[in-house]
Amino acid sequence: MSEPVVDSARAGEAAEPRPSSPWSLALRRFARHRAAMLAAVSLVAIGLACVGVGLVVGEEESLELNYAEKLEPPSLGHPFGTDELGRDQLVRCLYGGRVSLAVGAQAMLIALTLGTLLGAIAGLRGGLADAAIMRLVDLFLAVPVFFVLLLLASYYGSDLTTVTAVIGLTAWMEVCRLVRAEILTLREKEFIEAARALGVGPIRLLARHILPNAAGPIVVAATLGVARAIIVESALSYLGFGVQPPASSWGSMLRNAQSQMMTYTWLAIFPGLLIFVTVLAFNFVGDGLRDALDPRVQRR
Amino acid sequence: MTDSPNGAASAPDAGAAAATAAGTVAARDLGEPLLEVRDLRVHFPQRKGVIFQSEVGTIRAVDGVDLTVHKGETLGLVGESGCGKSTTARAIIGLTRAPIARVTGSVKFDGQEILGVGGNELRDARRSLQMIFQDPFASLDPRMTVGAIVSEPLRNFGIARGRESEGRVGELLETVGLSREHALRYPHEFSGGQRQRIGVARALAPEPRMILADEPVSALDVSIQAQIVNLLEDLRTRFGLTTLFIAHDLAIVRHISDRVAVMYLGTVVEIADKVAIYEEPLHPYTRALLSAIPIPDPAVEAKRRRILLTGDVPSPDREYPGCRFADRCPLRRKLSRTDQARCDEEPPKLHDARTGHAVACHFPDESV
Repeated sequence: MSEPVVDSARAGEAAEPRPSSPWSLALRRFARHRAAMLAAVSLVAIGLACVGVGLVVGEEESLELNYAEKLEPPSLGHPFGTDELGRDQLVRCLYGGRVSLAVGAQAMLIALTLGTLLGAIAGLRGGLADAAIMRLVDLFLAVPVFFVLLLLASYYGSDLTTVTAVIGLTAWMEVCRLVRAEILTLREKEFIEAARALGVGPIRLLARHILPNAAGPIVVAATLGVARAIIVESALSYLGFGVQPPASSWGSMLRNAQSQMMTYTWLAIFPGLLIFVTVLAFNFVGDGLRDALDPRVQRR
Repeated sequence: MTDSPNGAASAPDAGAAAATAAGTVAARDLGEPLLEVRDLRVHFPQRKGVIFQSEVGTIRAVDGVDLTVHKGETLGLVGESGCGKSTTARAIIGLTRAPIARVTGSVKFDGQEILGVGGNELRDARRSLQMIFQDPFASLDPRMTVGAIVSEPLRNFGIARGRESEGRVGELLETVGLSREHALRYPHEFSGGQRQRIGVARALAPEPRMILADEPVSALDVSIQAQIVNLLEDLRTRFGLTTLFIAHDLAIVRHISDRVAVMYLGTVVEIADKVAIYEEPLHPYTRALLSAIPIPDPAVEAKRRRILLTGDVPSPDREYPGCRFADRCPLRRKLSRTDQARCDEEPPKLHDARTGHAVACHFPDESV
């Protein structure tokens, strides 16, 4: 009856030197995904450049006109060339990148918060709340977002806050469905029941047990969401509803380049390339995260 | 005796039983009841439709369970898969709730009603009534360290925090045969048996008075099962725990229990002292169940008479006017027309057929 416990010795043997949390394991899996790593590095580089440009060229300075050097092709002095007002394209691209990335990130944060909140309510409460929220999702998905954006921009002007808010407020549905689905799955898991049996309250249950376990798909959705928000912002700016001159964003720079891009190709190529690379990179990172975070897809 | 659902109605029986008690071996002092379950019903309404929902049926997973677990004893709860064992345990600890389930009846822990209570009362009840789960792979949060898992109840019930809690976690891990260092690891680094030890440590953390063990070994290898069963027995004597031990393995239940309750289709059909159940089963279902245990002796095994049950376990989605076991019952076939009619029309009540041996059958004295 009081025999010594038999597999304790074995338990000791199984000891590995370092504890490997699910997050660090996921990070290791991510590191093995080459395309995703490359994409992540590019994103970090672009991000750092956009933030760091302020240290080299001040914002005022970046807007200074210099007709002597207008429309110069790429050279050592101006790697991305200059625009029709003689402003350095590289500096403008980096300042524009600040706007694009900020709008993307903030819009995604809004969408993430709203989607997680509503998804959690729908999943945890169930019943009428669930039905109402899911119909709201259907409703929002049926709305052609872009035209709403155009409409709002033409009514309320196009300051950046409005654009960001509207992009965020029309992108939460996917996250909401994801979170709800994850919660419905997790709710039936024994460890959630165990937590409830141990007296864990609903808020802690959500924060400590449910969300960390649902984080994988949410993080992936968030990454892809940034990419989509950047595209939408670029498109709006391209149509002239986003960032207003003299400030720049990648989209507004493309709009600027439109009339003369056959002659002065660098005006369109560089901002276009930045949008392309950034969005592609976000998608690759999302892909890598999906592989790394989803234990059901153990490919490597 | 305490297992008759309505004490008042069986008062004459009780008197008669007391008269014979002196001469009966089975009549041992059971002590004070700690957990009393009366007429527990857990019904799952089946709904259809998205916004305008309509009820299309009801699954009666648990349909009138009566149980008493006395202080310090281990009650084994056996029955086939799907007979409502686990649901019973979950309902007792308050894990099945509206709107998914409709729970009625009464569950008293140490005299306090705990069914349907919320807030602090539920918290208090859960502190002294802990559960060990069936699947050690599903019952530990994969994103938490073992230390965090075991210390969670300490935190929730305000028992210990920080350093103190760390120390307690270490002690608990050692109590269940793991080492302190394991607190830093994650569940996926452990084997099934070790994980179940973690589950046991977590259940012990709030120093409960009673443990509900929901098939704690059925997901484990046979060699590991023995270790966990020994651990549970060891802890039970060390901490004087009262246990409700759910299993479908009759051999393990026989080993660990003081008394045994047999469930069939959402009700308890027989409950008695372990020896009484295994030596003299009264319910035809229990007899059939026990006759299915192979005997590890070829000579005896060859002579073993099996009672084969025909048909499938009926669905719990309808009501039964009479005995739920009637259409599979080997005994009913041998009864007279009028007796058969009684089986079909009158639901048998759980009553003391012998002292301390309750059975839900109209004819417990007929041989099969």
